[in-house]
Amino acid sequence: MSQISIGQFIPGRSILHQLDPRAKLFFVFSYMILIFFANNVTTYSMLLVFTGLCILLSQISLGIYIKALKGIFYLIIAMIILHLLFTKGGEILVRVGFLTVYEEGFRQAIFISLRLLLLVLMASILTFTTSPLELTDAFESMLKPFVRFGLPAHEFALMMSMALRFIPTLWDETERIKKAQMARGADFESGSLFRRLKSYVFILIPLFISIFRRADELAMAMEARCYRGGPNRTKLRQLHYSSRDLALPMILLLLIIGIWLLRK
Amino acid sequence: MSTIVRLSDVWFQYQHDEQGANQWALCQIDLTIEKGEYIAIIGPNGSGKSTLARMFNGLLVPTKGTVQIADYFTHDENDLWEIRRMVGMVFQNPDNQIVSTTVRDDIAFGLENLGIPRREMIRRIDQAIEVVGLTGLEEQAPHYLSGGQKQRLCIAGILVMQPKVILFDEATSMLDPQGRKDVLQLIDQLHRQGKTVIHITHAAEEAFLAKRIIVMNQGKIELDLPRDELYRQAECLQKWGLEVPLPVQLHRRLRELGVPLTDLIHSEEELVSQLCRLLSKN
Repeated sequence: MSQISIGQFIPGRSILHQLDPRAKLFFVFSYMILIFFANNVTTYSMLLVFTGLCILLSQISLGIYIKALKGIFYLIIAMIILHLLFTKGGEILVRVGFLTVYEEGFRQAIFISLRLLLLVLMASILTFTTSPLELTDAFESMLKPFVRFGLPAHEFALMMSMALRFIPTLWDETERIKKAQMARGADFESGSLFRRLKSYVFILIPLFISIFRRADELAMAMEARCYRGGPNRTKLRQLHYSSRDLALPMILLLLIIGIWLLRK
Repeated sequence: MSTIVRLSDVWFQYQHDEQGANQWALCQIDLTIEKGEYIAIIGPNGSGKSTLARMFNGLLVPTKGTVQIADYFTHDENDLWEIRRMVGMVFQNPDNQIVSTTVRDDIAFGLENLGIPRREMIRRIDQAIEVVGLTGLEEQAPHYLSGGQKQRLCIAGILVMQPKVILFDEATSMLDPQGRKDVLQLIDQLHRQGKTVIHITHAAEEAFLAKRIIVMNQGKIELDLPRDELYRQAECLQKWGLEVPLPVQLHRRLRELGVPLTDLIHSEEELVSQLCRLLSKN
């Protein structure tokens, strides 16, 4: 479990941790769209500087961000190679045998990898500084306006938080089943990749049976505790906007104006 | 005392078992429970005790007959939610009852369902956490709690809803000895605070902590006796494949060996005091 660093929450008391999750969610979502409008050196460096500033403000060590980027490292490399080889346009920079690298290809390679980098960094900043519970609450309250069009906002949020609640439980269960199968001579370590994948069927089947049984019992326990859906429910957790949260839309506005003026 | 639970001529049949179409999971159950009673329901596997438990809060509705909780009936859809508020239920596996990612949020779940205002919620939650002894673990994730703590969390989640009756459906069977002891102690404490407690178990030893014991077999109530009376004839539990509590077995064997004990003993304490008296005489 400890290897997963994308989407992990890192508790802290920085200013970014304390901002309202709804404001953060909205900001990050808009920022991600904004990233796609950057198209020259000035705009990209503006976004890079801003993202760097956010990383600084989060008071989370750079190592953790680098770990999160490791997941997309090969994707970035692949993008760079593809663009270098196949994007044509502009002057020829290098020609080695049948391979030609054009100016445009070089430009695209840099910009696309920067774009990916910015997206992942911003998403990481959001999940590192916001607890999953806060995120679910933010989702629920932001989806609320769509409830009248039939969107089950409360159900979505409940499903998300229950999934979070059961991840460790099911992880333990998987380990237990794996050990039980190993005790009976199942082999998960050796053989070809296909063989190893196939042996995981013997974990998945008991796991699924157990999940269904759990779901059944959980539904019954929820019903016994008077659960009957979203309307008329009150909530223990409440989100409060503070004046600090106003800074986010203002910064967003500045960024939008900046990009609009500086892009070609 | 006033009656809080009344089952009259309850019959129940699970819909889905087609082969055993005439197999009744419960037959002809008549039962009244007074406010403040501490009842244990014991029986072997498949005796219908868990089915009976699900009758009390309308998770199952009788095929025939009625279940009345105070002034409400479980077959009336409109009464169902009031019944479930009044009759709280703690299940066997604590992991499958916990909904939220922190202790505090999970206790709040029932209150949120009832639409209780937030201020009142906080007051009740703090109180319940203290009663079940989970103070200091409010923000903890349930995953990090021990089995006994998880089950006490489930009890707190029920307590905040201020039920009149609390049902424990084999709530101790998955716990380690310490967890079991804590939960049993809590059950006793709740009874003394005036809650009606119904404890469903297959451990006779636990059942004898209650004041009144109901023995079930094959969907029928075989015995319904005050604890002391059943204690005297506890040997008969063997008839239904239930274990006889250790003190009862000890009493019988000692008498067989010619130790001068009285004919009848009512409790473990009585046996111990008789033995002590005998020992001090020698």
